[in-house]
Amino acid sequence: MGALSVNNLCKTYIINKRQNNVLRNVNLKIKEGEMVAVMGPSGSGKTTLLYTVSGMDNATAGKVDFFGRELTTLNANEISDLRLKEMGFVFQQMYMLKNLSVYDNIILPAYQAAGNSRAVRQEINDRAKTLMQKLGISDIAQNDINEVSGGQLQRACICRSLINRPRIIFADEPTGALNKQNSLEVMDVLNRINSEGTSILLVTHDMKVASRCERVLYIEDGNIRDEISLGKSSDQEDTRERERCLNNWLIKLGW
Amino acid sequence: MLLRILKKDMKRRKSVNIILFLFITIASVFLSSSINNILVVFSSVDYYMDYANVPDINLITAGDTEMTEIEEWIADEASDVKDHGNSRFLSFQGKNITIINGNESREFDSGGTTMYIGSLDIDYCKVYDDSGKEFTLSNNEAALPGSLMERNDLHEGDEISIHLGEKEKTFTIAKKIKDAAYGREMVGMSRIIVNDSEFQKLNKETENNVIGLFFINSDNPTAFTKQLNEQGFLTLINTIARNTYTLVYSFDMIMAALLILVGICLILIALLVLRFTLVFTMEEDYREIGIMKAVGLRDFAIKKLYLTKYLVLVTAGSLLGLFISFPVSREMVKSVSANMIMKETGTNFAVNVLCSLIIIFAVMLFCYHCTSKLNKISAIAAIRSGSTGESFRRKARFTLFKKKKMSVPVYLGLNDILGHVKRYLVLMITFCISFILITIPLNTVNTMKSAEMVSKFSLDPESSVYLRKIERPGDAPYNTTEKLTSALKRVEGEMQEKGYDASLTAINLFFFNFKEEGETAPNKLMTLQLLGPNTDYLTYMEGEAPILENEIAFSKQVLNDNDWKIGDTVKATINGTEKSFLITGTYADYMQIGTSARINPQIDLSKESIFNCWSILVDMDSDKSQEVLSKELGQKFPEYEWSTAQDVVNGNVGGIQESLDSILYPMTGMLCAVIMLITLLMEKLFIVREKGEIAMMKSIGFKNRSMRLWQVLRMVWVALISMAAAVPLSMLSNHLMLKPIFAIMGADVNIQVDPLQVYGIYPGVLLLGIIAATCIASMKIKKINIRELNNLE
Repeated sequence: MGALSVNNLCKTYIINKRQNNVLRNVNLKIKEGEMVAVMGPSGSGKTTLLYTVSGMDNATAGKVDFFGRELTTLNANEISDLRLKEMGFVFQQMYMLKNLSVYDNIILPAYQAAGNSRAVRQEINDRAKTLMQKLGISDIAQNDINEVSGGQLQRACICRSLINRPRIIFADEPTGALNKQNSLEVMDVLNRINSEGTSILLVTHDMKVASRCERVLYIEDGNIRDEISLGKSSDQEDTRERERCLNNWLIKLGW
Repeated sequence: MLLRILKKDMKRRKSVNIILFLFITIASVFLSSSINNILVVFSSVDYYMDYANVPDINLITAGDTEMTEIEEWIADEASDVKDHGNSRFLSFQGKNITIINGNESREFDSGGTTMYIGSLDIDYCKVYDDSGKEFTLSNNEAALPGSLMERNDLHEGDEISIHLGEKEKTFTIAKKIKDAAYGREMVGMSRIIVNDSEFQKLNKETENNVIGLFFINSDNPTAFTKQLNEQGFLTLINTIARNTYTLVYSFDMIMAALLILVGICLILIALLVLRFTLVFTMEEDYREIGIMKAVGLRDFAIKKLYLTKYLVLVTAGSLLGLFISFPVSREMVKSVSANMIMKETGTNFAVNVLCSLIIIFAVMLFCYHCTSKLNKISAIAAIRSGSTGESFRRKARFTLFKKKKMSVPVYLGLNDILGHVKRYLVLMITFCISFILITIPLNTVNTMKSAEMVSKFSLDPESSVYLRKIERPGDAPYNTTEKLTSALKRVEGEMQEKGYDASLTAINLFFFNFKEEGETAPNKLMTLQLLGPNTDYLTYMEGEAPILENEIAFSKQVLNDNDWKIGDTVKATINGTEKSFLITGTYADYMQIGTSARINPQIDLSKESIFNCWSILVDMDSDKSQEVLSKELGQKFPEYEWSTAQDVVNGNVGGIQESLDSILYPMTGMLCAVIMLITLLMEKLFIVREKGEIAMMKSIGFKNRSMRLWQVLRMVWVALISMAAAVPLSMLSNHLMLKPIFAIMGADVNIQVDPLQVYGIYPGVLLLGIIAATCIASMKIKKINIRELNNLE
């Protein structure tokens, strides 16, 4: 079954009475459990594509089918519900509420989705603890967000994005603000999540990050110019081969 | 560059600037015009008293039998007298006046005052026409004070008929007058003026209704009064000092004083808001400030950027307020001049200008103080540490995961407040001030309506209803206990006939000189005696009620003034013979501003003249309220004046209760508008500050509705915390403000707090205003795009 199907998606901004067509008839499909990266030069429309297919921004034209539901026909509340319960988001900057602890930030969307049931909240707490343990950030649970490292914070953001067991994760430059070591750790986490069945669509500039994905799309001038399938990434696999393959492809595209 | 920054800043914070501008303007109008008004009233009262030749001392005698003796004593023996004169008034009841409207007639409302007819030919306590000029009256013409004409909707040319004894006389109203001494209803006396020949004619026909008046200007009024009391004139019933008349006019300043209070509150709120917006703007521009410092701009040069904006805003607001205050001042002075004659100096607008300048100076000084935070920002710190310089360390461990039931918006709202108490302090103080301000008139009105207040005016709150006048049409006031006793019996009989088994008790007021053995008597003291069966309802602070024929009780004030104690003996001349009285108890009430005596009900005062029958208690078995019963009896016995305890209290506090009652709704509306504006302003600022967080929450699936709920609940928490803080502060204001005000009337009173009103309904209305304002401001959340995530630091 397709997780996400995009048909003739267009997005136009009008700035100072000038029309700017950021996305032009984009078509793409993501299968359930697939991990896809979107690459492209600055201003090519990567982030706009991510925001539009996730319902964070409205499409000017075209269709976005999310697990059988047409996003462009849903109202704001229905899209919010989808984002809360079936989508997860990871951003380049580790956006969190400043006056909440790391743990409270993680459980916030789950508490919001679950309502006030004591039993469900207990279950959320158990799930949050398991997730944090899995991502190796149990020890920073009660810290303030300015007391932890960027890598830890990004892993906390991933925890938050997973807390409602989403069917897909949208990640916008998830390692963009991290050093090499933290980037590797975050990608390990995303690969693990993907291997457990969650679809991932991520936008990146980083070839190393993209090489960990199953498929890479190349976007230029608001349209998908080409794509390459690298297959599922595994721990045992030599990543250098995947990177080389991707590099050659990108050079061909004029990267 | 300065202008460009200014223009940009004015546009960026349009709504905040507009609200601040409004506050400064309104505060400027209130303060300028109210202070102007108070100064005008203050300086005009003395002028008016001099203009009308109101004397230092005004003596009133019952009848005119002793007038010659008193006149001779003043002229020949009394010292310290500069000049003097006398006159006569004819007293009658308000219900003896009928307003004639063609073939129809209607009742005259005297506003609870005793009515008198006086002659125009008088040298003291003179009266003038509406424009402050002397006038003449022809036969069959009368002139009435403006307050009575307004109350009865009378105009020049209307006719009134006055029933005096057996005679009925019709007068055409020829003039509306200004009467410095008896023109205000609070004095308790109202005077109708006729020409001298009409007066003499009426005087001859109605000899029983005469009261005598002496007007004395003295170098030493106290010494003169002392000498007067030593003479023991039997018919002398009251001595009124000029200050008493002057005091009545100070009530013209109450509304102005209230507006000053509101103006000061508005300025305080504006200062708090200014501080918040200034600090907020500086936090927003933290990095820019650092860069300006880095390129070498001095602190003051940077401060100037911020101060210039507020200087423009405050000056514009204050100047607009100043211009509006001119007509407002003129109107306020005009309303005061309706009651008095004022110097022809016009309105002194210099006061308004000065007030506006002071406001500009004070606000700018405060702004300068607020910009001191800028000194602490170093170029390096600003550039390196984020863009706001704000540290986000949680102040309290108030965690979401421990909340098993609390919804997320409720938690977020509460967590925001606990994490940043200082940020919400401005709102808390504003709400707190508003809640306290609304409790002041509420508690005042409730106290005035309380049973204790009724008791303080020597009435029995348990009585079924009260009677003010039981004289039959044409009868002179019953001024002896004999006449009054038979009238009480008559009324009881009449009531019995119509099925009301009532007993009547009259509260009579006499004036006696009490002194210790060998001492000189001080002023005549108002002495109360109960005539009838209900004689044990009056309460005492110490000792017991006077029961036996030689017992008396004095108010605490009298005991203190004379250094008397319970158990002491005092003497007084009663029925022409000196009698001794044992002081058995003391009390505090509002009779004669806390200086009175209560004489036992046993003693025979039949030969003494009753100065006034204060009220008649009507006791009977009835489940009906005083209002219902007074209306019912008013219909069955229209010839008598029936009233409730509240009517009596209200009549004696000069209608303040009515005034407060009438301002309660406008004041609630105004406070509601003020806190709505503040809430709107602050909420808008909060949303600007939280744009990034809101965008982030949107991105993870929070609905607009949830976030608006978060914002609203946060304000509700702030309001509830403020209410909680307002409760003890309101109690403190009761103690420090209301109690002393009530004490001016002569006794302490417990301030009555109606919890439902004070802690429920009125704060509830304000809370609804807060919620409405937050809902309006938080509509902006819908417009915040997820792309605003970049605003999240």
